[in-house]
Amino acid sequence: MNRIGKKILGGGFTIIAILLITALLFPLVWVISSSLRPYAALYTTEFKIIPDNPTLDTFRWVLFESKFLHWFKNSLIVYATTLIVSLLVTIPAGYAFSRFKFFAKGSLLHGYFVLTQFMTGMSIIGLIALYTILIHIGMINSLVVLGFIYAASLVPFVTWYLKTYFDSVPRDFDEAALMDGASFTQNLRHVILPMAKPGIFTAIIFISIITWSEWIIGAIVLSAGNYTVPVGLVALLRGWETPWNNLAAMSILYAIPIVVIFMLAQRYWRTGLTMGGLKG
Amino acid sequence: MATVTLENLTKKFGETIATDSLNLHVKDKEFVVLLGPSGCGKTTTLRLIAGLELPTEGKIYMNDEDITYVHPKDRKASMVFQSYALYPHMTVFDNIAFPLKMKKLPKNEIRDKVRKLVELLQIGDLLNRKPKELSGGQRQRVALGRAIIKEPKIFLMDEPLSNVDAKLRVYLRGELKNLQKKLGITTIYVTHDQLEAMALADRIAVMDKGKLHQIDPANKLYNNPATSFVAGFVGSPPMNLIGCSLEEKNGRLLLNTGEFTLKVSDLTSDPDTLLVATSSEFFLGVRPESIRILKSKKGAEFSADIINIEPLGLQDVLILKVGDNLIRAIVLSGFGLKVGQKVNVTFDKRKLHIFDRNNGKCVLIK
Repeated sequence: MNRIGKKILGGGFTIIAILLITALLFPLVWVISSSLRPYAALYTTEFKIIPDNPTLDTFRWVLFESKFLHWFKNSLIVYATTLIVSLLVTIPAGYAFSRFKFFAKGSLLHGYFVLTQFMTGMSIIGLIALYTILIHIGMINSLVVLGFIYAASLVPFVTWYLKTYFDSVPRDFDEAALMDGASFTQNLRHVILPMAKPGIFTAIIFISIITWSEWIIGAIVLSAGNYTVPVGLVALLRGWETPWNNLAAMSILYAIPIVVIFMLAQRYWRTGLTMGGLKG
Repeated sequence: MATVTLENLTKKFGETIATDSLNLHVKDKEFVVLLGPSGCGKTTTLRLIAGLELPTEGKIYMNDEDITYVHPKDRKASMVFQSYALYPHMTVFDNIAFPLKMKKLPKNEIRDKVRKLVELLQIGDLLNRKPKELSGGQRQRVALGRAIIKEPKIFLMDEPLSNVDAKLRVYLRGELKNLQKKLGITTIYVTHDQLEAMALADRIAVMDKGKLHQIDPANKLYNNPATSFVAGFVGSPPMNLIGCSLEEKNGRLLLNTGEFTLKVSDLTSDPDTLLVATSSEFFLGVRPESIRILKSKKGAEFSADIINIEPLGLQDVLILKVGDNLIRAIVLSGFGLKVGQKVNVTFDKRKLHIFDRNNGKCVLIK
């Protein structure tokens, strides 16, 4: 292909990319725009990204008048439980699946893979059963229990993911640590986990996104005093009178932690951390 | 102070036999190289001694103490891996200090020990670098440092020089040998490179298919190979092995290759040694440098075609074809030999070897 042809092709790709990014960012821009509008300015026929008379009143309402902070605290409890429980289970499990031979390992792994497909099915079929079970054992409306439920639904996929990541850390390092006198836990703590950091942070991002935005199980398990933010947000919907501007402000505040986590973990997304320790 | 003894050491991976009842004794302060082609079981042997694998049968002793089932960290052995396995997230200092940190030594003691060692290894200026910022030779030294800092009783090394370029390898192996002598630590070293083995070892153990063929100093290995495998593996180009059978004519023992015949009495003063063999089929072993090219037919055993010449500078390697056999000969260059030429060949008869064709054992004891 000649140079002009290449330029045209390159330009074409740039235009497509710009269009895609605009399409992806538009909802976000619109939510921000809505959060800055007074209630009366919500239903105008004029298209304006930056509204007339922008106001931060919506944020004041979210922080000082709504139950947002209470719900936010609930969300944090659920999220912390989920994160701790799922990592405590999946890191050792992923390492064991990667390194050890044991009875029925193959079928267990296969079973895990099938279970990863349950997370979507869970919200449709399993919910009634889950509700009934929780009522009967008296564990309904508990934030910690909800955290455990989220963790349980995440364990298969995250274990599988971490297993493949541990597989990419050569066994030579385990053996070197063993020869250097490291115990099993010392090996995990000082050698394997630091090397598996990118994988673990990816898992954390995955767990965070799923847990932070989950609504349906939360809505079934929790009652009014214990709402998490997504459940509370939906409870604020009131048909034609829904205060979309306030909801938009709440959504933005609620999204901040996930953005922060993403930005913190991003630097571990570099691959090739193991490069350099092996070979020349 | 450490000796290592392997007794009937066998390791099976399913049906595959990696090491087949090995018996080996490594003396104190000795440098033993396990040499063999890939898949011969040399690395498995090393890993068994390290404790990274457990044997199917047999025992391992260190100083008469049975360590067969002792945990690797209690064996007082250090290992240098082929890949070095330097921890990529740690600095050079942390890598070398790692074994001491695992022992929970006090921090200032660790610092002193590392400082002293990096002086010896001449890597004092690299302490704050990460492994990926080091050259191959520097990584090699860090890996050695991590092995030495433990003050082990034995060193185990798995092809530690195979990842550095050829020039550096020659330099590093000299350095390694000096270091081992200086520290006086019993060393078991695995390689498939015979030159490396010969340069480093006090004794070389040649292995093939899980079996130990011979353990001897390099010279003895070269001059008196115990089996046809050793003869064919050690030396470059390797020894020529020519199939032949033993015949008796007029009360004289003869070796007939089909192309030429040799009197056994010319090869040895004790021809009866051949009679202990399991059959009358043998391999005649001829080192390339034991072959003589003659100007005339007089005194020649046979004539052969030169089918290729590999010039090595001072010497040429001739590839000769006689019957179906290809024979390599080393001659001084500059005699104007040409490919396609027919030459008269004889042997340095006192330097020939004879191996039993059934079990490969040398039957001509010199």
